[in-house]
Amino acid sequence: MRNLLPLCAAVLLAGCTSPSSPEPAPPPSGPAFLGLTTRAATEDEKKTFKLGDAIAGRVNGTVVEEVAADGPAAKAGIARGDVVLVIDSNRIYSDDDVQDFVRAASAGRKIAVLLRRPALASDELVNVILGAAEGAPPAGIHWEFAGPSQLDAALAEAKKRCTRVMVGISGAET
Amino acid sequence: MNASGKFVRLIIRRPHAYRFAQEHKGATIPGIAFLDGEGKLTGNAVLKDAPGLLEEMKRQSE
Repeated sequence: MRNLLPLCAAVLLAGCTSPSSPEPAPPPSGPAFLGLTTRAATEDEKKTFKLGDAIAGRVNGTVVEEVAADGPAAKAGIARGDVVLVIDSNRIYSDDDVQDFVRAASAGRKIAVLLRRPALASDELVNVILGAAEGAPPAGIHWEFAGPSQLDAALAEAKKRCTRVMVGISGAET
Repeated sequence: MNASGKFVRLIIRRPHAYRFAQEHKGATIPGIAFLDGEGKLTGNAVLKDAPGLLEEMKRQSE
């Protein structure tokens, strides 16, 4: 039994042995492109689509305003007037949420978009393969995760890398 | 070297940011907060204080 103690300790420590030298972050891959813009729902649309679960006056769901022709969203069948409720378990409250999510994702990633459509009785889950954005990646910090729903994934990654999570908290709306 | 590369990076914008700041007392909007692997706030710096932010990043990466 006594011999097992060092073994148990080694197993417990194996996950995080050198907190002072975390693994370097993987280099950022190509920026992603979804090919849609959204806007806040009007009061009528909030009623029509039964949008709720508000935070700070914002309801869950943002209305698709423009879809780039032949873009990833268009190819997946997303159309103007659809309401984006959730992207990969992140509840969406504004176009900033959508753009942040795409900015933190990599080209080629498959994402699940939950839509609410006026013609359908139930919400529809659509898979989209993110395309590659043209031009250089945006300067500044390369965010790996976006939105509070990805906090658990970020914490798990931090544990794995033996480092901490740096959270950018922005009150800005663009 | 980009100091932010030492951390796992997550961005939270409003309206989620208000809730996050409420749940993590001490976190400032706009700012950078640091969490340990358990989700506990270990540091915070306001964005407009660039030297303070860099200092906090160094402290957190030690």
